[in-house]
Amino acid sequence: MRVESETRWLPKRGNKLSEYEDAFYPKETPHDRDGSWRFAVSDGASESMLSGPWAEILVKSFCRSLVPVTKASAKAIIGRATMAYEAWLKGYLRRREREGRPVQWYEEPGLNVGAFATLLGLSLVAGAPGNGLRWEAVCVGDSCLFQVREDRLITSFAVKRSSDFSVRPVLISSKPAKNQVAFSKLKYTSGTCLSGDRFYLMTDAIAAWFLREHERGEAPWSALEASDFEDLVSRLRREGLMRNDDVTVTSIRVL
Amino acid sequence: MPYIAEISRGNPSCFLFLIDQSGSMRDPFGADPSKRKADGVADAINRLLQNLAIKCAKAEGVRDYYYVGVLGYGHRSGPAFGGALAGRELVPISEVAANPARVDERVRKVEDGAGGLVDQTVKFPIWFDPVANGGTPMCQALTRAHSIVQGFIAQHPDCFPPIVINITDGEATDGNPTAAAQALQSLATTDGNVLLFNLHLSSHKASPIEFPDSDENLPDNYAKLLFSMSSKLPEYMRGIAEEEGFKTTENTRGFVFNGDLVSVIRFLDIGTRPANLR
Repeated sequence: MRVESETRWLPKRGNKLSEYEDAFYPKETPHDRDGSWRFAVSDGASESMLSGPWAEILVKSFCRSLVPVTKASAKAIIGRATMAYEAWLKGYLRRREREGRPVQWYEEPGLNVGAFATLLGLSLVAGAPGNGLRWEAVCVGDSCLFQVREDRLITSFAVKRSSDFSVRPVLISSKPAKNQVAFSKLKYTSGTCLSGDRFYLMTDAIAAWFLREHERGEAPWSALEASDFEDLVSRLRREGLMRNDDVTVTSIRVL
Repeated sequence: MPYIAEISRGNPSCFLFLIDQSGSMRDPFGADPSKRKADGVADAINRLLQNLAIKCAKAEGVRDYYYVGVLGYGHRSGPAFGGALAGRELVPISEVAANPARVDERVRKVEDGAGGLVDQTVKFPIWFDPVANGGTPMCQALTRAHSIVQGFIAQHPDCFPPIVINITDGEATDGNPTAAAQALQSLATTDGNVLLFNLHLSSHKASPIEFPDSDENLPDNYAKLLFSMSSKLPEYMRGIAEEEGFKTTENTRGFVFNGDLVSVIRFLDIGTRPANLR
């Protein structure tokens, strides 16, 4: 089996590209690693400091791990990501000092509480019955995984209804001491997929639109596939059908 | 449904603080009699500005989600910022953050992650020192606020409605402020009416009361008057207030007696806020 993927993303309207605080990995269709593939998206919280770099570290940590996906291995990956972030932060703070831009008083509280982000990770592994793939996913926060087969939505993870989105989700912190609640909310699911199946990994703003459309009996995956992404997102924002937020969609096709 | 406009750099909102600097603010502060009410005012405005700047801070600087003004009223009335901001009515929050009069350092105990406590030095910016002099021309301050907010709305007609926060002991000396307060609250953007919240710092030693929905338990007529002048919390703010542990009803007003109004800053929605941030 082959797996193709493409990620489309846009920052919040009014923000610069450099202010985009979602993250995704891999950046291009990945090579399979002995019949397995990994994908992840993360949504850095807009009201926390350096959440973009933290989101980037989380998606890379998940995708580079070779350990089978379980709740326990996801916690271990997050634990290692917090260490990687600490090392990155030290370098960042040194660079700020060197460039004559030391941390200001208004940044200190945000740095003290740490960065926050979601994590949604998907692993596809060869070897399911009928020449299919087995898939496993973990999630903290409100990023979403959708599986579509023959024009039907067959999986919606971890948010099932559009009304379940909140502006205050529990997220993963770069400070390990703050992750007890996040770990208690860590969700795992698994399934199988067949040739022709599609997966979508999305951050919350577009996922909420996707679920609302599906609840209305529509097939939002068709609109996603058929439209120019920037045009679609602009229209949805303009018509008030999607919250103005960073938007990320990773589309995966199993062939 | 009003009060849903996005607060962004392209469509900023406005905070205008009115601070009572009259002679009566020399009297002891009921919540802490070792302090004067003027100390309570200075502490409240400094903490409000500090928290607003922190809320708008990102790693590359403070984003101008708000324009901020501070009007003092007492012996002298008018724009109260000093230094580089002196004389200006409304200032982008990034400039407020960059120009405190000084930054003090305070030591506080924080958890060390291993069950103990360690001292941590925290920077505390000061824009305002206590002032107590002259009468209490609150009506005049509210009228001046009306003109400033009207000007802002003319430039930002679709913004999240400006919020005016009046910090006072309530003892106006230029008449009953009700009409001026109502005129201010009648101003509106396409997203809703201007919100007027009152922080009452009194010499009365009654327990603090935060965001009440009736004036039943308020200790004196000054508190009752300020309560009646305060806007009801919009539905979305009530939602966040409930998540913060406040009990609210549809009559809950933006009024605090001898307590902490800084929580209002947390009621503002400028993006995703982790539930486990604190």
